[in-house]
Amino acid sequence: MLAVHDHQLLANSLTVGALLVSIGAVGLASRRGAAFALLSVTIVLQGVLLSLASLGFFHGNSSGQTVGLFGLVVVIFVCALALTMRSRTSRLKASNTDVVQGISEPEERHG
Amino acid sequence: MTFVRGWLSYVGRAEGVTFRWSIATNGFALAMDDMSHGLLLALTLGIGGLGLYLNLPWHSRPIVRWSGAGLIGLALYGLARRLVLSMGTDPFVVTFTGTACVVIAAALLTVTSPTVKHAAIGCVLLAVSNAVLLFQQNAAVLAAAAVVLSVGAIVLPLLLSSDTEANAKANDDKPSMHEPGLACVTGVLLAGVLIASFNRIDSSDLVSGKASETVSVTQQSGLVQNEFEVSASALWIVGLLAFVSIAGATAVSRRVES
Repeated sequence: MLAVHDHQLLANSLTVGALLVSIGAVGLASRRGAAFALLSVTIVLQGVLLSLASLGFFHGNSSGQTVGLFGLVVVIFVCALALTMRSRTSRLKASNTDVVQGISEPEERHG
Repeated sequence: MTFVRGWLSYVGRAEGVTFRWSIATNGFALAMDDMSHGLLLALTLGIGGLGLYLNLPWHSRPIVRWSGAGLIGLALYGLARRLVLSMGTDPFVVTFTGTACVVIAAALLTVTSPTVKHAAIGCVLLAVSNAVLLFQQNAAVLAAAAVVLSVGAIVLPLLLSSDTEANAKANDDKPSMHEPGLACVTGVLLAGVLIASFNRIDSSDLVSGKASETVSVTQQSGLVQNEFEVSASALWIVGLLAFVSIAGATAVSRRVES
């Protein structure tokens, strides 16, 4: 028997998931730092996971969890890659700045 | 639109029989109930969106940010009341409602906090409380994986990288780099579209009338198949709308920047 209670649980879980996706989208559009963008992507990811899990729970199978796990691994991999590239870029920028400062300092002394 | 849909549904049900005025009035009452339900939800979302806008970090005056926090609290109260009214007051529902409010509050904390450290704390709180919701729906493996992977692969490296705070502050301090009002309006519209699409099943139940508390087993397979088709099409439409909204907001923000 499928109770109306399950319908309400599905609807409310999807509502919470939709709110999480929207809050993450607001964070992506309004905050421009890379750190905040990554955290906003995490919020969107949590909303999608909640929606998929509730759909799977409602249908009585584990397909929602399977799709959620696959998406989770892909998104986390992409985020970790972005984080690594970002830290490497900032290190390169810092080392370039040191080189430029090292070049300019003797000129200042000479002048 | 909802009224027309409900009225047409009842007229369609009256095909083959003599049209009775009571059918139209009953449809009108149910449609008005549905419409007021949607208006209340839209009002709650609007109040929450305004609170989110006022609570964003470039409003430096404390009175503005506290007003935003108050509006967010009001919207959360409205959402919790809606959840409890629709599902009852047994312990499962109370736990679900409380955890859902913590999840949304943590997401708002993550988006609106001025420093990366506080945003990361909000993100950890969000992951843990969302894991409780997933655990309630028999998704324990997904809950554990979500907590371990989100916290381990995103939040901890973010906190451990030393230059994060300076970069985030430098990016957020440029006034032309963001368009918070547009982002909040887009977010409220996106939430409304998502919730309306996801609750389409629920409103169709409301229009057709909840005569009994349960659905028989013979109707269950057809209902699940129909629901899967509705959910799949809604997900496609919602995904497209979300992509267009985010791309549009980003494009307009970049135009402001240039």
